[in-house]
Amino acid sequence: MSRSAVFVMICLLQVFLSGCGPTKAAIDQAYAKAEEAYGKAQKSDEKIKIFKDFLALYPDSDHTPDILDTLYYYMVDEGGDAEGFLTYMKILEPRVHASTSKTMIQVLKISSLGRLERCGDIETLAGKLAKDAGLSYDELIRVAHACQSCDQWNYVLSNVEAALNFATPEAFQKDYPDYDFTPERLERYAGRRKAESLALKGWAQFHLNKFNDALNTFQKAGEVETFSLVGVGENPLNVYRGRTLLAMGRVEEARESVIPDAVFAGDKAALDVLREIYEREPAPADTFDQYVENLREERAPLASDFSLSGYDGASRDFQELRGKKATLLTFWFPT
Amino acid sequence: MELPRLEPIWESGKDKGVSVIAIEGRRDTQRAKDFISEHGLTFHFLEASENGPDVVKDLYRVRAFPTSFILDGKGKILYYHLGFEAGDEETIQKEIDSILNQS
Repeated sequence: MSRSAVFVMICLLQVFLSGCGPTKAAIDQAYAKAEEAYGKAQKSDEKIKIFKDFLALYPDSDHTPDILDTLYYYMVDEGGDAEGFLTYMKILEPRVHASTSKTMIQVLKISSLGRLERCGDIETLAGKLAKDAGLSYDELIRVAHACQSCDQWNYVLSNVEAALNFATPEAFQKDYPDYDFTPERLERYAGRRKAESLALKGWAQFHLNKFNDALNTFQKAGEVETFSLVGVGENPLNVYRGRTLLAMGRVEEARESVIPDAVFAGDKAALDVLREIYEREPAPADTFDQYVENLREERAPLASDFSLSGYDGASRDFQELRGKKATLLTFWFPT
Repeated sequence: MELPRLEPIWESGKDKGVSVIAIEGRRDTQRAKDFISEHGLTFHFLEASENGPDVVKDLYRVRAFPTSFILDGKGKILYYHLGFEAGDEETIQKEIDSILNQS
């Protein structure tokens, strides 16, 4: 066989393997360019256009799920255009064949339908998805939230139960294969997933009238979370627990559950629960606002003292830096 | 980004007994210094330490940055904020004012 014949055969083989389309290198190059333009773009509209243009040329690359995630953010989360996003999915869907991208499209369609409260359509799509079971943690939580906005609590429950399987350090690492996390950090991320999905699981159980199961789940969720000094949580767990206890007639416990979030963090949902309790059995205060102020005075914890160095190297006592009347203490890091 | 929004709170409060203290939690010293000088921030800055009690994680149980606490003159924590969105500085100012009005 002559050299040129071998060369032609290799070329044919390459075309066969890559399916006649643009090579992976060409796509990656185009993607790098699109990403650069995206980074420079100031307005959301420009960012959306850059990625839509990319998908028009390369609808089926490895980058499609990430791009769809970004497009959803700018079009729906920020732009509020769930209708427009659904229309766009209709155009894109027939051109996408990779299974991860196809799944992502289904999930984002469900999210958009949740926004629009098109609950019948969600039920149909979510029912189909449940059978194929290939969803990632983020996708399961997304579907759960969409079903939540349509009060489809059985679906919320099945999706968060599936999500709980991914609330482990191993599963988290698997989702981010390019990152090298410390074990401590992985543990924390897994814990965050666990706390989030348990809180939502208990909330689903509450809506399905399984109050005792819900309380047990909240108990587990509470063991994962470490609460801040004033007892304020990061997710709505305390409010969920408060609502459940209230429904069970355990008013005092319900009150205790929501006080930190309501009083110290000004959380609206927690304040709503507290107000309901206040209106049910008025406490010794003329108004609800006065009641909250009284609680603040009664329950406020004392800030711990400490010494740390300033940027001149000198050590300072917190006591000395504190204001005579008031102090704002902020924990930050430079971005 | 949020930190420069605290400068006016410090400017208007420092003569009225209000203190503003920021603790940098990741010991990212050089970038912190650059940020502070770039934005001309003049309130109190401290840096978390590797030695001694863990002020961020243990004493204040902070798990996300930024987290803010507002204390009265006796050192009682009366308000708590997780995160910092545009407009939060107004809420913070209001809360500080309500403490000033009460004392």
